[in-house]
Amino acid sequence: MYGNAGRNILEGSSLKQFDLALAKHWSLSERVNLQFRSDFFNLLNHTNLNTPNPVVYAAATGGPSPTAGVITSTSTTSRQVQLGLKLLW
Amino acid sequence: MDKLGFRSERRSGVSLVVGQHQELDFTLQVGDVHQTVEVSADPDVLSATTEDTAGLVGERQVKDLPLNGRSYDQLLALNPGTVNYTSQRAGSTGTSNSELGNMFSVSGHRPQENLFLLNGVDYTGASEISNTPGGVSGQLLGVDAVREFAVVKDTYGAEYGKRPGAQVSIVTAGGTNQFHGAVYEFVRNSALDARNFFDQAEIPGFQRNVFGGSFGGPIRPDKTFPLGNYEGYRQNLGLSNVTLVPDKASRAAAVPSVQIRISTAG
Repeated sequence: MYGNAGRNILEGSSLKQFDLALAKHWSLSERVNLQFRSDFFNLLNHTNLNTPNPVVYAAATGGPSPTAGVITSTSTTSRQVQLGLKLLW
Repeated sequence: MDKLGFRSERRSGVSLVVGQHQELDFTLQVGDVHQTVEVSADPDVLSATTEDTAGLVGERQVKDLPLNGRSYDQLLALNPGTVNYTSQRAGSTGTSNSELGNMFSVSGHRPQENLFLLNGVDYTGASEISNTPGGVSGQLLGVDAVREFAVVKDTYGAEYGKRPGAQVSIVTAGGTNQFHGAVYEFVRNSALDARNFFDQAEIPGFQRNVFGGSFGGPIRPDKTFPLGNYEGYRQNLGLSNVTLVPDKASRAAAVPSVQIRISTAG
């Protein structure tokens, strides 16, 4: 690797994530409780882009990587919802 | 605090959590044995014994905060200076920069430099160079059996060691004098999820069921109370892969022998 690029000269895009949990508890009897919960991950469905591919030449022979400098994934998930039911005694 | 010939002294309201140190100084007054001075207060907890920086993820956070896939290690990111590195990892299983479970960078350290302790015992991943616990599901399961965990970083005390990053002490829950149990089912599927930025028109199919139960109680009252927990994880997961293909201009410019191949490949 040759070049004069310094450390930490590149900065990725920002990350925003808002999670929410809503839970409802019922007392079925003095000892038995029922819990329903819904978890929302990335509620606002904000796209958090991952960092671009930093590798231009993966091998000494062969041309530059076609994905060099290209963003191909997100760093967090899109909005996802998880539902849960829990019986406690 | 009792000593013959001194007044006994009592201090309560001092709550200690995993990974925390506190010194309490008592000054005993000379006096009658029957005299009792009772101080009942909640003194400010200040770690004066070691110079570590510690963060606690307590029972309430473990039980109440939303956990995607019920992987409780996601709560590590509640501590300052902690970054979830999972989406940045590269390489396949068994390489030093890849783990099956989630990965975290604490205080700018490499994510392989954290030490996880389960009740004081080294809690490792799939191989010698996979230092973060977690299974093929990509999750660290068993949140119902976890009471709390503490993250000690930077200049931690001499009782810790082995790796320079965070020292994560996980403490499991115990049973009580009464029999208690729980059964649960958690569901996630593609019908409830939004489309990812890189997905095409359709969301890849996805169904996940997390189910299990826990049970605890006394074997000998006031003496032995175990707790057991089972968590099952079943998942069908479709993935979108991004790949680069020649555009129309480069297809048109290709030599005839290649053109036959790319036109049939669509």
